[in-house]
Amino acid sequence: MRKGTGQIKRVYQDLAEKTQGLLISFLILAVLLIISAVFIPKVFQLKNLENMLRTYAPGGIVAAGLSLVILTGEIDVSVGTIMTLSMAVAAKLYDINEPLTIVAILATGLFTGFLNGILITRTKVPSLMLTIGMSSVYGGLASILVKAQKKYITEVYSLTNLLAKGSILGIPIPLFVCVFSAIAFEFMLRKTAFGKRIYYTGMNKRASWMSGVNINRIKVICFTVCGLLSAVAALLLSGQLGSATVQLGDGYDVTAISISVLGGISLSGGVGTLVGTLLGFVTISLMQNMMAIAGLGNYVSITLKGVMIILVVFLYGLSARKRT
Amino acid sequence: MKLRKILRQELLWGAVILTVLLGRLTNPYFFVNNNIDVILYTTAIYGTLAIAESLVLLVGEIDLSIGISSVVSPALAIYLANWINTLAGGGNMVRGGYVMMSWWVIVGLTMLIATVTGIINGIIVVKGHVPPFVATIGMQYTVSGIGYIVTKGTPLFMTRVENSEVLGGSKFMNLVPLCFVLFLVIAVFFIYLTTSTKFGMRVYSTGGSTKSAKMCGINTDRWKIFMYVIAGALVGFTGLVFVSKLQSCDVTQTTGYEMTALAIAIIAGIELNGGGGRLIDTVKGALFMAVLSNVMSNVGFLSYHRTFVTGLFIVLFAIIHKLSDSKRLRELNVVEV
Repeated sequence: MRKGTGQIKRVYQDLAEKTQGLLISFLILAVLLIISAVFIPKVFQLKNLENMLRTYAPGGIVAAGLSLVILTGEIDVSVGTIMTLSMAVAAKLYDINEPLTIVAILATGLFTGFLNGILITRTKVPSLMLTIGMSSVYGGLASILVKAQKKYITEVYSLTNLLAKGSILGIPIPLFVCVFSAIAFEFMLRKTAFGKRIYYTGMNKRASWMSGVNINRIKVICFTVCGLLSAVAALLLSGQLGSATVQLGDGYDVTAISISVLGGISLSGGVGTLVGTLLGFVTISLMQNMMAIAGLGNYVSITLKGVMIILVVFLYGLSARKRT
Repeated sequence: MKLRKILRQELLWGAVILTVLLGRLTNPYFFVNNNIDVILYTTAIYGTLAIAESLVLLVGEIDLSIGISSVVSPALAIYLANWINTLAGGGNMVRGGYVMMSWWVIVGLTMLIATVTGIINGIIVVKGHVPPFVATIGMQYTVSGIGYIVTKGTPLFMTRVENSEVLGGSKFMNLVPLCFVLFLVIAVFFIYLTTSTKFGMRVYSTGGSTKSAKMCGINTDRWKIFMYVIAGALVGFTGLVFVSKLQSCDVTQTTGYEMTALAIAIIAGIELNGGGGRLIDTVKGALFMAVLSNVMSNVGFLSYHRTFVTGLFIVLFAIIHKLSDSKRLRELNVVEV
């Protein structure tokens, strides 16, 4: 073999190790940054960055929760409708008492996540099947609750507005929640026993079970947390939009999965990090923002999103197979 | 006691009969010709898509792009024909939103485009090693986007195309909708293929345990791609039925049909990991969904009520099928994790 190829390979492997396997995500982010720097410099205006990250933060929050579920080897496509259901419950309670409503929103997310987890672990029905079904159940339930009408979230609901539109030290609160959850989860995954068990469950369910890991409890907890975060995202999203409709959560399941996958999380479980998910969040937000500013229109944006998802997963698959 | 056993074995027929009874109870005009036609037409559509989805599921993959592909393929076909025609010096074949070309050209090109989409799906999933869930969702977005870009969201009308209403609207021997008869032919064909031929054996082996199948010399890659291609062809057929029946080609029609097809497959007991389930159950499931859908719209359930009910049935049937499967595993002393 020529000396040159060996060196390139070593540089590549060095880089891959330094970025902890997130090389592909970094590369794509770099490409997007370069493209926007050259063609759409408006992206880098502080106001735009703040807006962009605030608007797309709910997606990142859901992705953080969903990443935990995917790491255990399951999947939850009902996150979008959990969002809708949480706000549907809220729509009924908003005029009574606002703090109570926020608690109710979180409780709905908690409960639906818990229900998903219990059903999956008790009946052993494959999670894809079950969450597809539960997605329709939650969505239909939400529509039945509000009779498919819109609920306006005006300035009267001061707490919601403060949370959704406010900032701490210049950082939008939704973004803060997103980054905080991702980093907190990453810390848990790396440093605590529970986190390590999540990885074990995802990598080899049966072996973990035989080693005494309580996989059912781990899965239920992950699903519950995912539901909770979906509710949080719903709250922050409707606060920003100023309204809560029955289409609130539409597309958020696919977005959350795309973000997780872009961050290097493998759908078969046990592989990936929350830092990667955070990176994926930044990448997808940047991409959507770029296309919005460039005026590319919704349709081209959809097509590009589709192509990018396939491309990224393909690249990750390539690198995974090269390693083994 | 024997009744319970019969009920458990023929769960789907039971569900169909119960729903039909419910239909008659809630709607005095349930057995009117028009209503039966609607049910049969819906069964044909749901059924063809469900068979497409079931075939892909049987080999252990999944295809979430069938809904959007069925709607976009005819549109792409028409625009492609138009483009080729203008290149060859002919005139515009789409004037004022009305399509003016031969029906058979549309049929040919739609089948071609849909099959090519199937090939692309298969190659991405099998050769690209991209998880089918991600790959077909990506394709769903891509196809949807391309459809919008090409058609700019405007519908096309088929009314000036001769023979276009035959497939969707006409009746076979003036009795039964033609599309339903064609669906039955397709269903019987694939049921025979999967149950009584080597084709079926290979399909079930590939899905049941890909590694074992490979070691037995079955080219699992080729079979998986083959299923995606067949699914593509069936999707093209469904698209043509849509276009023919509605006499229009509208890309903005949000279908959600892939979810229904998946629901039917789940209700029919087709396992998501492959290798389990029978196509005849898919046909029964399609009939069940069609009747259920009809009953619900007659009762006045709005679309969100219907998604709720569909979701409940998915969960219910998934649990029922899983319980019987768990029983079988317990008898084999396999502890489930």
